[in-house]
Amino acid sequence: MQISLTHNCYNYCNSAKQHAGLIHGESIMRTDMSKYFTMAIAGMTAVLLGACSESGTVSLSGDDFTRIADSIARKEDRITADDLARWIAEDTRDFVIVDVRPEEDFTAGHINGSLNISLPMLVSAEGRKRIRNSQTVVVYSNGSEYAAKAAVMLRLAGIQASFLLGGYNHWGSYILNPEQDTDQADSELLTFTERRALTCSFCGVDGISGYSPPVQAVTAPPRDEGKGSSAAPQQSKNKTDKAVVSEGC
Amino acid sequence: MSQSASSGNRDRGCIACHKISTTGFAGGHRFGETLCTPCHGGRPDAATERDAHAELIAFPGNLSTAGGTCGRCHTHHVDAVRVSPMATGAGIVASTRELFTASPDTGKTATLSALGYSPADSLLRKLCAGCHLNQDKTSHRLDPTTDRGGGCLACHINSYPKDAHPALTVRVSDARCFGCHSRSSRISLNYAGLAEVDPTALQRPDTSTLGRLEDDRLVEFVQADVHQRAGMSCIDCHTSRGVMGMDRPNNEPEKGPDILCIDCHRNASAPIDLNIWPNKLEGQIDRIPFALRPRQKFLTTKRRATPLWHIEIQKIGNTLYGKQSSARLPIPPWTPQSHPYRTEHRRLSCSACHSTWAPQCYGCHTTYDPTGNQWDHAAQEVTAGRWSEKRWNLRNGPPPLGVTSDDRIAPVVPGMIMTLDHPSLERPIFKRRFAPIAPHTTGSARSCNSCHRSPVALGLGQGRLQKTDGRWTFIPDSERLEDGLPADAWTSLDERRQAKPPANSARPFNTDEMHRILDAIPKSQPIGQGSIP
Repeated sequence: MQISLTHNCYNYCNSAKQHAGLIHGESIMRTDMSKYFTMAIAGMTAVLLGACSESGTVSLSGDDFTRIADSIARKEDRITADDLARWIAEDTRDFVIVDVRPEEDFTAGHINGSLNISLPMLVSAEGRKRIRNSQTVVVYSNGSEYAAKAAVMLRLAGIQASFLLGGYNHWGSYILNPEQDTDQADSELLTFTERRALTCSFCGVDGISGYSPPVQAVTAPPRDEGKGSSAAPQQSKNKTDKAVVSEGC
Repeated sequence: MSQSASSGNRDRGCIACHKISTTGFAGGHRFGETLCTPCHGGRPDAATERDAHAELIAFPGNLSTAGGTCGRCHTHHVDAVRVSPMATGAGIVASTRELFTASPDTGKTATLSALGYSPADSLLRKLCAGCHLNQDKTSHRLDPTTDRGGGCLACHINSYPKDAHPALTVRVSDARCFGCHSRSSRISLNYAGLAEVDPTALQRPDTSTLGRLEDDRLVEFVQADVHQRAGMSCIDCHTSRGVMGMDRPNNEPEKGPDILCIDCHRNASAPIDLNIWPNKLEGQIDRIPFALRPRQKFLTTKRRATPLWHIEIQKIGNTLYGKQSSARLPIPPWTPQSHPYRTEHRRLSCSACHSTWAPQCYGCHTTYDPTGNQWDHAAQEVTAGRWSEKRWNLRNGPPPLGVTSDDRIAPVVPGMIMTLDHPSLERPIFKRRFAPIAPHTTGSARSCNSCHRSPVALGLGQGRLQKTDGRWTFIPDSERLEDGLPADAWTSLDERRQAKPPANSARPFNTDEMHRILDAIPKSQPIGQGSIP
C-alpha cells in the first residue's frame, strides 16, 4: 500500500488516518506503543494540512509506518537533556536543533544554536531547506507532546528526527538551573557535578564572554624598520628601545 | 519627583525645541518625558532661547551640580560619591605627595579637587586628575577609552542615541568603567585579558595576538578572567554600596571593595530575607531576577552585609543572574578537596593563587619640562609645564607576592620603580614601591613551584635561585639600581636592602618567611618550573 501526499491534502489526510489505524492493528498493538506516537499521528494530519501545499509529493508505504512505529516503540525518537547537552558540548555538528515554539517563546530563551521553525513551516519547502544538510534533527517545544508530533512528521518525511524529552521546560530546570537534594547518593552527585559543568558551557563559561574593549589589529612593521635594533630586539641593552612614552599612567 | 501638572505645562517650552528629548527615558526617570527642569533647570517659560538657557544645567550628573539635580532624589548616593575614592583620589594624592616630601598627606586636603601648585600637585594636575569623578563632563558623547569624569553620568549613561534622550540606567556597562580603570593597575584591561606591551612586541614573528586600543596603546591578548569568560560584568561582583561608598561604617573612607571572593564562593554570613532588607537598598527588591519562594533567603557580603539580590540560594550551589547578560551562572562552591594544605595556606588570599597574571612595569622615568605646555585636568585649560613618563621592562606574568597590612599574603606589583626629575629637586630621586593588587585575572590556581621555587614570587626578581650546602642563594638577572636591589626586585634574601614600605601598605616577605616558603616542598622539586605534586 502506498500513500501519496499531493496537493490534494484532504485525500491524504483521510488516507493517513486509515493507515494510522492499520498500524495500530498490525504493529503497535504488539509493542509498548508510546503515547507520543499516538498523539503525533493524530496531530500530524492537521499540521500537514497546512504544510503539504508547499511540500510537494512524499510517498510512504506501510513498511515505512511500521519501521517508524518500531523505532518509536524502542524509544529511538527521543533524546534526553543530558545527551543533547553532551552533543552540543562536543560540538559534533552532525545535528540541528529546531525549536518549534512560538517566536516570542524562542526570543525569551532557547537552546544554544537552535533554529526557530514553526511546525507548519518545518515540513514546507522553505523549512526543509534550513535543515536539509543535517543528519539528525532534534525538535523541541515547551513540553514533549508538540515536539513528538513534529519528530514523527519529519520521520514520515524521511528525515532522522528526535524530540527533546521534557522539552524546554525540562531543559531549563535540569540543565540551565540544576538543583540537587543534599541527600543524593555520591554517584548521582557526580552526575550532578558533570551537569553543572555542562551548565557552565551553556550559560557562558568559555562560551559567551563579557565586555571586551575595542581593539584594532596591528600591522607589524618589517622587522628591520621597527623601533629598536633590528637584530635580536628582545635582547637590546638600551632600555629606551623598549620604552612606552605616555602622559599619565 | 513632586512636580505638579503645571510644571509639566511649563516644560513644554523646552520640548518645543528639544523634541527628541521626550523619549528614551526608562524606569523611574520616565517623568523626564514631560519634565525637564528637575534635572536640567533652565527657564522653560522664557521668551527667548538665551533666557530659557540662563540657568540651564546641561550635565546634571556633574558632581558640582548633582546635589540639586540627581541628589534631589538620590541624596544618599550623591553624598557618598562626593567623598568616595573615585571622586577624591585621596590615595593617589597622598602617595604622590609622599614621593616628593617623604611624608604622606592624608588630611582633608588630600583630594584631587583641592590641588595646589607644588611639584607633586603639578604632577597630579597634569597626569592623574583626569580620572576623577569630580571632573566635569563637557560633551554629550561617550568614548570607551578616553571617557573621564562627569559625576553620576560617568557611569549611568551607556549610550547617547541620536534620536532620543540618553537613558539613565543602573545596569552600568563595563565600558563605563574602562575609561579610568584601564589605567593605573589596569584592572579593566586585565579582566578582558589584554596586557600592555612595549614596542618590541611588534618585532615578534607572530603578531596576531597584538592590537591597539583606541588611544593607541599597544596590547597583547593574554588570558581573560574566568568571570569575564562567563559573561560577567563589573557590576555582577561590585555592589552599588561598594562602588559609590554608601553606608560606610563610622563614615570612614573605603578600605576596599564591598565584595570578596568568599561572598559568592564560600559565604558563611547569615543570609537575610526581605523582612530585614536594608531600608536604603529597598529599590533592589524590584530587580530580583528570579521567582521568590516563601521566606526566600539572600546571601550578604561579609564586609558590609550588602544583600546579593541577584544570587539565588539553592539546595546545592547557588546561581548568579547576570545583571547585564541575564545569564544564569552556577557558582562553583569552594571545596576542601580542591584546596589542599589549608592549614599551611591559611594566610593566602584567594588572589594569591588564582591570579594567573598581573601587569608589571619594572622601569619608569618621570620628568618635567618647564618650557612645555600641557592640559591641566584640574584647571581645565592648557598651562605651562609638561610632565612626561617613560616606562620600560613591561612584564605580564604571575605576580610577586607580599604580606598585606592585615597579614594576608596577596599579589603585589611594582607601583613605581622610578626616577623622578623636577627643577625643584637637587637631583633626580629614586623610588621603589610595590603595592598589593587584585589583578582581575582569575583562573586555575598557580602551581606549587610557581611560588615555592620562584624568585619572582618571593619578590627577588628574575634570576637563579639555588640551594647549596643547606643555604639558599640568588643570582639576579637584572642590573642593580641605586638602592642596591636588582631592577626588578622588591627585597633580597637577607632583607638588608629592601626599602621600608609605606604605612598600611604591603611588605615583602622577611627572610624567615622566604626560607619557610622555599623549604616547604621537597628539595628535589625543580626550580622555576613544575606542577602540583
